[in-house]
Amino acid sequence: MELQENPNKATDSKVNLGDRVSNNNQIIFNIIIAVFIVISLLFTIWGIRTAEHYFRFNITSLIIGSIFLAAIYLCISLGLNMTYDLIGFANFAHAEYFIVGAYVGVLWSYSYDSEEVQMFHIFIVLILAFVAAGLVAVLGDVIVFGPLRRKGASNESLMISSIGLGIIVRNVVSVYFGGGSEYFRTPGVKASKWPSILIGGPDGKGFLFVDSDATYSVDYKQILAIVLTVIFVGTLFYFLEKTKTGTALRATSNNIDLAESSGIDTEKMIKLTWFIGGGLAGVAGLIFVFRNPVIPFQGFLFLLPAFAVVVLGGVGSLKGSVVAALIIATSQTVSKSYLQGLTDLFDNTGHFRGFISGYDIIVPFVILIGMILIKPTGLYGEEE
Amino acid sequence: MSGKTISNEENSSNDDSSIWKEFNKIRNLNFENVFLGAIIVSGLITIFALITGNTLAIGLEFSVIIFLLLQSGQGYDEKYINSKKFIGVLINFVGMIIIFFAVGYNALASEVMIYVSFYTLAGLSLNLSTGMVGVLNFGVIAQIAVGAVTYAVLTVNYDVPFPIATFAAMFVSAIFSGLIALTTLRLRDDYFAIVSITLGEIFRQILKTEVTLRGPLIVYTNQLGEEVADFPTTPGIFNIPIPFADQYQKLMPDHLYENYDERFLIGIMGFLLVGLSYYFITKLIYSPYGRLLRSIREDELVASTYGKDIFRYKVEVMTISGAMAGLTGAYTAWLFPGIFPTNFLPTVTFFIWTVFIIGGRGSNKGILVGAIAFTLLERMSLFFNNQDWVVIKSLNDFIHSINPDHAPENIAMGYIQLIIIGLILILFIRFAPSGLIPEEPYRPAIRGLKLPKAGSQSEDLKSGMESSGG
Repeated sequence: MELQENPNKATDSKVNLGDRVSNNNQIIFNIIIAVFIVISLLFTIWGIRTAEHYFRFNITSLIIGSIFLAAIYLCISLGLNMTYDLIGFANFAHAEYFIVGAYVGVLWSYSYDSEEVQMFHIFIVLILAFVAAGLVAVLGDVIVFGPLRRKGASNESLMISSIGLGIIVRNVVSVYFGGGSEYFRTPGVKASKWPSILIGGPDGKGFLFVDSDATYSVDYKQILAIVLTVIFVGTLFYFLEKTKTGTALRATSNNIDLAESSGIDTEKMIKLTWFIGGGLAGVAGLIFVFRNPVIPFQGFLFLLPAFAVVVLGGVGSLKGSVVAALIIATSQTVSKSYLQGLTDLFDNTGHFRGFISGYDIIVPFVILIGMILIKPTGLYGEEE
Repeated sequence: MSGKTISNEENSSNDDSSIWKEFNKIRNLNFENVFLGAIIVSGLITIFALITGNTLAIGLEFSVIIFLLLQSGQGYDEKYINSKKFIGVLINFVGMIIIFFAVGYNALASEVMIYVSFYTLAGLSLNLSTGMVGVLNFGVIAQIAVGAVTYAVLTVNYDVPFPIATFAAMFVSAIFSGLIALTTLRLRDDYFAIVSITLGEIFRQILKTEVTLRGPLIVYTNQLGEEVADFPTTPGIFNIPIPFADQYQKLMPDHLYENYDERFLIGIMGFLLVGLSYYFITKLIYSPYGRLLRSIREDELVASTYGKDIFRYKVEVMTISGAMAGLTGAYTAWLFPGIFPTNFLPTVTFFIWTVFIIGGRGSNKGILVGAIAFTLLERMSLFFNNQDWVVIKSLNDFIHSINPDHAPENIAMGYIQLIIIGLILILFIRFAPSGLIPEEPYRPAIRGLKLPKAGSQSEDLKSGMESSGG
């Protein structure tokens, strides 16, 4: 603003140069993402056209599965990203808030005997899971991290305490439920038909339908989960961008001292961040448990992919997390079916069944390490 | 001038601290009594256990160990009290083992020996990388797993004798750690932590799916009628040979072998390994090289202004710690009946970190004491596994009242014990970050000249300024 009022050619050109460099970086990343999307599209088309006989490869289930997985990763990693940016340490206990949400869903699902009613009341358990996981996160901050923060402890100490907190939460859940797997109980009443009509079902008729021989499943719960995630994440972005509290929260995470001197109650903002972050992780747990059995250790298995999303998108950039979640989930899903196909192709005897398809879990890890080595600030992260 | 300063200091310290010296004497005398008393009580308890075989002795001995550990070392003569505490805990631990055998818990005694050895070996490795140069190494289990799998594959599938396989395990793990360090050590601390824990998970996944890391080979006849050796279909390596097991079985009479079986042999070998590596790592830590490492940990900038290549030293130390972890890996291959991917979960890394934190970072004595405390804590839940206890019973009733259909029948004590471990980790970080036996400040004597005691630099400066000013 001041530059325009008082034009100075030398500084102006410098500013322009700097802008151009950062624009170039931005363009490069956009190109990378575009190339990635194009490659995955080509790959999927090739998959449909040529290899569907060999590969267990179906475009509908692939896309829906990817977005479903991305929704889970996104919900976990948004909170992780927010607290990482705000307080500055990698919170290993974050995955346990996921577990809290999942088990709240399991407990709630016991009390229904009609699936239609259950799905109609789904918003009750959403709020329950959000509040429960958020409260656990806030409690963790009040009891464990808060005193350490005020003491000025190092990030290392905070990290190790978060490991302790994670162990405690996970095992409290284990005491309550035992170590075995639990299911989100859906009473065996027939499900509503509309998603099958839209997407295509085993009967081979549907709007987006591709191949009638393929064996796959698109559950309406997946669609529900995706819709819910979009609603939640959209609300979060609206809250952060448009409301006064959200602006204060962003200011706090940008520069805590400056925010405090501007009269923002930073301690309250930190608590709010924990509540939102933990709550979103709880929602992720709920979404996960819609379709999958859950064990207390499951949260930890989602922790490292969540870190991968945070690092790939860039610490502090929530929009980066959205893109990164899509990238990581898509690459994991695509590589799973691809590796499965390879296994089927090369292993006629069945002796090595699954010898290579297990590697799909590694994909987020490899992306994580590669990103840290090549560009630690992530796709959309700020340069240090 | 410097000589003058030092002599002045000696004089001044003699003048100033005469009262403190008196206090110190009384304090040391007191602690001497406490220490002797603890050992005598422990001896009495052991004799009581040997005569009567009463399990009460375990609880008594446990409380003696906790009492010794709770003795505060934060007085004037910290080093003296800590070394006495260390010796006291070691003696009591041996007493504990004897009591276990005396009251008939033979299997438990062997397990405690084995796990103390395991956690000490792993903790020493972590102490090199994290305690000495301050690298946030969360990939201990990856280093150990690489060593263990190397050892197991070599001995089971290729019949390599165990000393060569052990050295191969150390070598491979060292190379692995060195490579990790070379590529990722320039990163931020917390990024290195994430990368190392991720590498552990990647290796675990590879172990799950990679066929060539399985054993032993299965011989089957294919369609052509030829006999072909092939890798098994399920992950895991079984039938890992334990060194000296056959000779030991021949050597021991049968009635003794019943009580002191193979597991006991592994425990004894673990103690030997712990002794050896403890000796060498202590040598390393108190050498000029170790001082250099600690200087890097304290302030990288200062070390680099003295012309030291910090990155090189960090990579070197990670390599040495990798060799140590490889040795731990070979030991791991003996102590489990078979190697599975589930042996190398990241939780084991967290346990090793707990040992490291509660023992005292940077202090080898602390690691040993921490491993003893942690293992006893972990195994003690076997004795508290009593569902009729008021606390446990009321907790169980409470859970069943909320969750009548799906709650587990009985509360598994393993979970309660893990909760306690998590609590202890948090409490130690908050209230005693330097651990049970903190690292001793150490200054060597230079050419016979005794330097002032470490940890009082500000006082040195003050007295030096006063002398120069006067």
